[in-house]
Amino acid sequence: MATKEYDVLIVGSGHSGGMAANVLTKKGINCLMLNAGPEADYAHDRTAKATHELPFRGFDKPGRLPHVFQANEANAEQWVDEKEVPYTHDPAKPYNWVRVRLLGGRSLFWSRQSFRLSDFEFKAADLEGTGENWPISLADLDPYYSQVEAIFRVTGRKEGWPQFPDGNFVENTGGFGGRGGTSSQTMKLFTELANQRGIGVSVMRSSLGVNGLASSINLLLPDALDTGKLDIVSNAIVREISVDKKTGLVNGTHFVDRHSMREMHVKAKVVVLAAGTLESTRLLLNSGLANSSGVLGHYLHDQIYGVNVVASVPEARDGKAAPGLMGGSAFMPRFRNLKKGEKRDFIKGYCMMVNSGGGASPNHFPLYGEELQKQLDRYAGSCVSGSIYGERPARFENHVRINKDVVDAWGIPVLHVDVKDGDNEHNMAKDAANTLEEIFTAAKWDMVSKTDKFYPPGYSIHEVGTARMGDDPKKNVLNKWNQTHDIKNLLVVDGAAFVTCGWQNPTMTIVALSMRASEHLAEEMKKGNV
Amino acid sequence: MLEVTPPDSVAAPAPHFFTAAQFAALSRLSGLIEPPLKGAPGALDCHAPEFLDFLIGVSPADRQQLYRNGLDALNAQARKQFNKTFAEIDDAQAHTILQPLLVAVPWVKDPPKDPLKEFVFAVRQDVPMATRNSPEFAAAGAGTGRRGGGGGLVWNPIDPVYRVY
Repeated sequence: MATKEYDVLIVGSGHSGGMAANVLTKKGINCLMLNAGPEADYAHDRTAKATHELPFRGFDKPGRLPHVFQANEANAEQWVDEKEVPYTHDPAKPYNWVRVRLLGGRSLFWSRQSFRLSDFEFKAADLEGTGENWPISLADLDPYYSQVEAIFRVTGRKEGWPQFPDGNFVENTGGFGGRGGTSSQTMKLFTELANQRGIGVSVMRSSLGVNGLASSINLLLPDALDTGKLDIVSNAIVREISVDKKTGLVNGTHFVDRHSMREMHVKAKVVVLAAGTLESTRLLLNSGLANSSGVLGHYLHDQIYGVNVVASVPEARDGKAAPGLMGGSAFMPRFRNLKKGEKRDFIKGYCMMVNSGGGASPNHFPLYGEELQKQLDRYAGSCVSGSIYGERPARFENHVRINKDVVDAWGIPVLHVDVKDGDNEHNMAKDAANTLEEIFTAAKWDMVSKTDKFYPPGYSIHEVGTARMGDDPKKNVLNKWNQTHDIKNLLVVDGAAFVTCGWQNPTMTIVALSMRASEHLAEEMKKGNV
Repeated sequence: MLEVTPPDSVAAPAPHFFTAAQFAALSRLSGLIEPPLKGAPGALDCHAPEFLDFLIGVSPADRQQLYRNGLDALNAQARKQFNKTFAEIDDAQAHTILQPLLVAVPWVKDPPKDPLKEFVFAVRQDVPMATRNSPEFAAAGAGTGRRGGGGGLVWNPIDPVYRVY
């Protein structure tokens, strides 16, 4: 029977856990990583099949993953089974919790959009007069962002805009088609009209990674394993964090083997939670730890994904959508509420994505059969479409708590999610839809469709908050080094630490924060403070 | 590995979820929504109604009710207006019934609130997908150059997952 005590136990193997392991092991610290799911073998776990060979013809088994809109019959097995690990919510307050428990977590399927937060997010309360500032600024995180961008090989175009901080980029010199793309006439016209309205037009920033993958399993964990200082245990579902009653410090975790149901305990001097925002918070709540402030589980937020405005370029219809006329895409970082006193019926901001060269969708027309097909053929390649990512404000009332009446397959109480959108989100979406329509109309393109609707909370897979950082222990769960205020050898290095999320994909910030927290932890351990 | 044969190659589906009247209406509706176009097979050639009988039969209760009520309503409308079932009326008569139920839907996750319009919207989504992702459509595509439902890498069950159901 093993009685080994690790220096640091890391729960979770995604980007944040991977970065913690990467930093700590390189500093000679012995780490154990527990991951709730198995290791995927890409060669054996996937099979090339045509959709018509699938039993449900691509529809997937009805009711299998009702909250995972991203799921389809081909990828259904990659997501957490909702019956195996359920969660609850009021039917009137839908929440899409999208989870992966394979080794590497959601980093395996990350879209790779790579942004920094700006001081419009870190110091949002100063600008908006409401909410809380982060206890750190962009300047504090800048050196860590730069290192992360180098590891992930982030490509982007430097703009010098304060709301869209530049980084350590593989320079993207292409046009609006992205890397190596071209600027079509429609995108040039769109840019001109957007600029006239004070909207800056740039290109998407994304991680090139290696061989198209920018996951912890290829960018972070291999180096950690090479140090000989990391052990990884898969199929280890952490039930509870254990505490030394004499010192009040954590000293390990209880976990259950996923298949055998065997209960185990492992010892560690430090516990680092990196299980993903809501799983880390669920573990803290189930352990009864780190909640002297009473805000653990609160301020859950993410981004609205939605708004869809489609227009058709008349001269591109009826088979005339030539490459020089149509094609390409553009990215517009936040352009609203950048000045104090800007009067709008919403705070915070959104980014817009516009694509040129697509077609209309069948649902855009009240037609069927041959008439519908003729209309789709007419519009093929002639459309320009726009959508947004917008910030949901962090609100105390949007929270998670433990539902003791429901347990998962291993008898662990599940989360109840209680989140509701407010007027701010809807007003923001209306502004975006109107702005896109205004530009498309000014371009003399024919409107095809317009909606200011957006997906339910959680859909973005960018859930953050619930264990936010801040200097005041009475109002925050973590300090600015991601340590819990209550227990100095217990850290949370994933998205749970966020104070505000901005409109940006949070991954770069999560990884940079994890790197910063891990370096600080290593120093504190060296000094004997932890 | 040994070569095995998919069931659709050797056997016909046996509809059992919808009543005969509902299934006849679904077949008529499917043929109107997705007729043979540009040399590709249509919904009836691809047995889309039979597939939907299976799919809706294993779907959540609200989806089943949407379809059953919708098909019953189409039959009721056909009887009221033309003294026939929906399956028996001609294309022009069917269009008279369907036209008021057709609406443009800007956001597919925000379907029409009226149940009958929602049903027609659902069928307009489901019938083309059931058709274009069918083995028959794929086989015809090989001959006509039209693409079927595509394909790609499909995740297998990764390990003997502990199931609680």
